[in-house]
Amino acid sequence: MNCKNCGAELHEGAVFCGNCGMKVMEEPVYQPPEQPVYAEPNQGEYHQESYTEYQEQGSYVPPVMPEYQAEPVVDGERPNTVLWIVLAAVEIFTCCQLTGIISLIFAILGHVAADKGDFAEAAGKIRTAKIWFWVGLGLGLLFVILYVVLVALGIAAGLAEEILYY
Amino acid sequence: MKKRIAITLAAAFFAAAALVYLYFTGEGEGAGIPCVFHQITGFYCSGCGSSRALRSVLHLDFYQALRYNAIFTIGLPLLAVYFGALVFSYIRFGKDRISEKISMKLIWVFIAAALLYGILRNIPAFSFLAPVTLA
Repeated sequence: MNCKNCGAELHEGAVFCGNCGMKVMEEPVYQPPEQPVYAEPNQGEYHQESYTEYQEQGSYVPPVMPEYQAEPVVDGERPNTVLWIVLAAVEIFTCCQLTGIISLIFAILGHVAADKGDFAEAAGKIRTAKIWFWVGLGLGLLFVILYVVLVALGIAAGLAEEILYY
Repeated sequence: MKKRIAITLAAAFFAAAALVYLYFTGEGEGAGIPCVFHQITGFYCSGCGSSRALRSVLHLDFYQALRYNAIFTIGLPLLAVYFGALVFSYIRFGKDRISEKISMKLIWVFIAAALLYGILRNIPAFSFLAPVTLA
């Protein structure tokens, strides 16, 4: 079938047109109005001829904007809630308990929402879970780096002392 | 697909390097990664001892691994299978086709068990769950 908006050929089962991004629907989204968009003000004498002439030229059809999707994830796709539950749990038990727990809570909320079919809500919750997950990992990494730096400084100080006083 | 294989191999290389490091360093001690929770509260979280447990597993000392962190030692093969399957799915299909097939019950049971483990091992009656180095 072809896209109702731009006319590009669509493959079977396409949800969005690959050319203009328009959502594929059974019937066309935009219905041109029955009468022309511009209506001549009534100037007393109504010229029937010019009216039909104008109609024949065709009314002005503004280009239809394809539906704007804020995220590449579509309403129709279930976010990967299981993976993020596991990742959040692993974060609790390996690196960052606090952010792991927060991330897990949001991942579970997202999972429950997805099970109910509310994919948009689920995607939002999973996005929050992801943020907390990466924040935790980043903080954990930061701590490790700081720890390594401190240890290295301690070693350096010890060495310096040996060299200076020996 | 080739790009995904390349990324996977690069990640596997770093993971292998970390494991080699762990294998050859500090028996009885940790891996050097500090636990903020333990520093502040003095309690053992569910993850305490998992680095040492992993090292014991690398040295094929499984009983010692269990005594360092039982939940980690038991969960390790499960996680390895899950993440292994995930990597294969990622390489082959470019996306995750595994997670939807995992039993959620198993995941809930495991998380609950791990949380319980983190609490129990701090109670004197269950001190055998706390990390301990065997002679």
